[in-house]
Amino acid sequence: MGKRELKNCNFLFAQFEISGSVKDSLNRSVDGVNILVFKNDSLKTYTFSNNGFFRISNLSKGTYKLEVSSMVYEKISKVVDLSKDEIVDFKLRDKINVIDEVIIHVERDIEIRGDTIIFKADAFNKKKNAVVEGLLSSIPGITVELDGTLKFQGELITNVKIDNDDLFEGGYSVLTKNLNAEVIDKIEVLQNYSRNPLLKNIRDTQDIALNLTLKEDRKANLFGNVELGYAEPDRYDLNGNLISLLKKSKHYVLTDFNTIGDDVVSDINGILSSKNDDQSFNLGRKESNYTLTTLNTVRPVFDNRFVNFNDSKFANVNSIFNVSDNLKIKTLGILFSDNKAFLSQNITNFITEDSFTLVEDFNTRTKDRLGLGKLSVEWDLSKNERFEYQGSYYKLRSNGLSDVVQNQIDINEDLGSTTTRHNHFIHYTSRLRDSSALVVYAKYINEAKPLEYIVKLYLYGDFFYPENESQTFEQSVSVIDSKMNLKTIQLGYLSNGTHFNYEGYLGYKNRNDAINSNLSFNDGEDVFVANDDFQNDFNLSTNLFYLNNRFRLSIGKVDVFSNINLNYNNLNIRNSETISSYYFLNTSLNLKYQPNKKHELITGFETNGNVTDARNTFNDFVQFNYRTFFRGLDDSSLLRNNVMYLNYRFGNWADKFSANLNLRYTQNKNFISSNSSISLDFNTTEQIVLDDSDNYFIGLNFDRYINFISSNFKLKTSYTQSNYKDIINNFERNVSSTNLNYGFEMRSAFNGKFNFILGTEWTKTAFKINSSKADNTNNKTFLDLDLALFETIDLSIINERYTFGNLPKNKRSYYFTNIEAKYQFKDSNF
Amino acid sequence: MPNINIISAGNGIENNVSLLKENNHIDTYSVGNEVIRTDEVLQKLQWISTGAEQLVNRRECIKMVSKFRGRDYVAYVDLSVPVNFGPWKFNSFPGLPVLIYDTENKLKWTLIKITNDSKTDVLEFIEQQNAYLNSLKNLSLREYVKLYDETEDGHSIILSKMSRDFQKAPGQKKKKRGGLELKFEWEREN
Repeated sequence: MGKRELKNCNFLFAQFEISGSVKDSLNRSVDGVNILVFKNDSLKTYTFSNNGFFRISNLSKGTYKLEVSSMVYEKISKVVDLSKDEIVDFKLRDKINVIDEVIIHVERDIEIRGDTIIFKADAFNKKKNAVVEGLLSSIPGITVELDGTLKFQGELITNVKIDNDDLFEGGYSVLTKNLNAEVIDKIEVLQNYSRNPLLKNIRDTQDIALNLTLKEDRKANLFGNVELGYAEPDRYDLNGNLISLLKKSKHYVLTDFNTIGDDVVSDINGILSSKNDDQSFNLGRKESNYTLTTLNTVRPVFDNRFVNFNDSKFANVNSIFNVSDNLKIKTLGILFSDNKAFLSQNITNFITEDSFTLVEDFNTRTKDRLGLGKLSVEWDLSKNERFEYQGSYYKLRSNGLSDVVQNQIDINEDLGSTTTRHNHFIHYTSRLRDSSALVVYAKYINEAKPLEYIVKLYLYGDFFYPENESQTFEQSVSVIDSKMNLKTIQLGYLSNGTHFNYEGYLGYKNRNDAINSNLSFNDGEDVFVANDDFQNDFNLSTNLFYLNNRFRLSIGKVDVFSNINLNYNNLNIRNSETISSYYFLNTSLNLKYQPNKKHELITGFETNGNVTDARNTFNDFVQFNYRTFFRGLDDSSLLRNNVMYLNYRFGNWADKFSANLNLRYTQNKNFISSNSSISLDFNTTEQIVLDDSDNYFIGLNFDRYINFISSNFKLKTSYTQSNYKDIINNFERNVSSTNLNYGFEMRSAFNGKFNFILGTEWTKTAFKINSSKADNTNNKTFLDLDLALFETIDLSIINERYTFGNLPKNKRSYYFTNIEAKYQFKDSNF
Repeated sequence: MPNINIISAGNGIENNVSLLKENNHIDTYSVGNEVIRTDEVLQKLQWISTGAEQLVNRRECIKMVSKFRGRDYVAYVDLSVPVNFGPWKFNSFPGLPVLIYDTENKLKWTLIKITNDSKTDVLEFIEQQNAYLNSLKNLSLREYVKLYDETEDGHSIILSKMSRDFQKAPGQKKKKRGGLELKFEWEREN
């Protein structure tokens, strides 16, 4: 190879380089400026100056533009015609203008703005869920419980709004189980939520609410969808939504028809009340008539889709009218019907002087029909004043038929009731300065619940009438007419400071209950009335005056909470003309100490007083079910108890070792117990007040991650003991019932394809009644195996063994095995 | 039964400091409930222009690609702003990166704000960062990666603490790393 050939090689490859110096106006070397090389206006390569020099190699022949730029120097360009190695030097001048400040608006999947976390629905809705409930369960942090209750990071979600409108209050599962997920744009998690916007940052709250926003392109006049699923004969699920968003009003229509066991409306009273205990805005969730008669509607605790035999039809219309910027009117209407079926078999042994065994085989069908209407008005009187009105009316017809075979006797039950309820509520808020407020509310509830209960075959022997007469009786008829009305007015003052918080409420509540019942029998022609002990003409009027105070004081790492509630309760039992008055104080003192993330201690003491209500005080028997009659106390009573508790947590879930200790002691100065008469024919139970009962509870949990077996070990134990007295068949029993739970669980954390969960739990229930003792131990053991076969297929084998100590030796244990295979579609990102 | 799929158990704080003279890069990672500081050799990335130009968030950008620690990245760079650092460990840009994402669509960085701060504010910020980073426990990145691999970044520990009701969703790539960096320079040596 000679020089001539080398020259030819060079010409063929033609790779050149540009190098040079970069200096400023004072001839000093400049470091770190960008040197961009463009060919035909597009960026070919680039480099940075180092110690005032740069070099770019491997450039083919051609025309290049070199640009040197920096934040502090003016940009310089030079054009180079490259046919050999070139040297290009740059002398930079200082830059005068600087880049502009700018804020770029970008849509992000998760955004945090103060107390609010915003999730973009499409980023999380990977499984293309049909209804909102499914979408919410895929948002990190949100869990959905069986009845539709939502929680965020373990804390209860109290409201779910749509486009900032709250349609269903605490009954939001109606919305989440029916609204189509496709229309949702963002899910906003509102922490430290205050239902009343004027009380935000005034009232201490842990409440969390969700706000679902609708997609922009959905804000057309009318849109909706229908989903239909159909399985074998008679199993269908039809779900439809219609949404109309207009300038001054919004309308939502939700419908669901299913026979697959989905409970669309699990709690109708939830729609008219709130999920939390907010005394400043008490919609009245617990005030209603009492349930005095029931059929056997027990269901095993498995997934609803397997054991809820239903035929449910649901239609709901919601309208929101924005009359002006300050005035909003909402209307809601629901029509609902459900037919359900229940099957159960029970065997009960009664160990009384004349022992007997009760064998019952139930076949129950229920039919519920509901019509509900609600009107709400929200009026912002000024920036600091707000007025709200809610009024609702509903009518619920419940019917049930049951075929019972009891100890080979065929019995029919027929239970029918109609509940009619009116509910009116007005509320006024005035925010005084930035950190205090005045609230006033008034409430009126009226509810009537007439009920008729017929039992075919006459079962009561000679208890009511001598044998020769009662022989011809064909059925017993129990008619109970319950009515209640409630009026209450409350004035409240709230104030919040840096280290303290105060809530005070002064109120008056008047409640009237009437329970009129009678029991009769007929033989097909005549009616025979039972004796006076089985007829009620009960009328109770209660007046309660109260002053409730809540204080919180924060000193360093300690929070001290205290409640001081003064009560004056006046009861008038109209039919017996008994008037009783009670003055009582309920107090509590609680302390929370959290020095750092590793320790948390909460302890407290409370004393409570509760006056018995109508359900405890009606004084003649009503029929509870086909074989039980019960009645209340002779007179009202004030029940007092004291509670002490302590909870201590060490470490938290990310630590290798964490532990939890819970202690609680309740002492009842007096309590409601029962005086019962039990026999094969039927039972009677009377409520009585006895002194002194108490309850202890202690629970301890440990969690430890053990390195060498790559598994986490949990140890749980709890013990509770209740001591009380009651009377059965004139025999006074001192009962001490204890429950001891202990067990462990081990969950592996292997990196490979295999993982397991192994655990066992013993439950020992013991009774000591006077001098006799009895106990029973049950055990549940499980072994779950998890195999990741391929990247997309996961196989789990769940094995369970249940052992029931009180069953005969060869029938004590039961084994279940459940095999589940899951396939993950490839285009899913997670 | 509810399914749970734990992706990351960090505490959300990001500190990335590149020291050019020392050729060192400082980062912070969480181990359980603690934040530790890692030091590593500063890696200079090489971005190659694809030739495509696109308007991203109203800025004219060119599309560039690069590889870093087991992932392929796409960056939209605005040449009119002559900076050369980006978020996290990205550097050596010919301009301002406006949007960076990986080719598997699992990671995304978007520029949202440009502010001018006074020199005193910037110096104060640097002092604060220095004090903070010097107060943390120190590991070399290589040591940290070893710890991460052994405990799967603590996922395995947390998952093992969940109650029996929680099952892992299928499709977990158990043997591979799932974070930002899948493969390191020292591993290619082996």
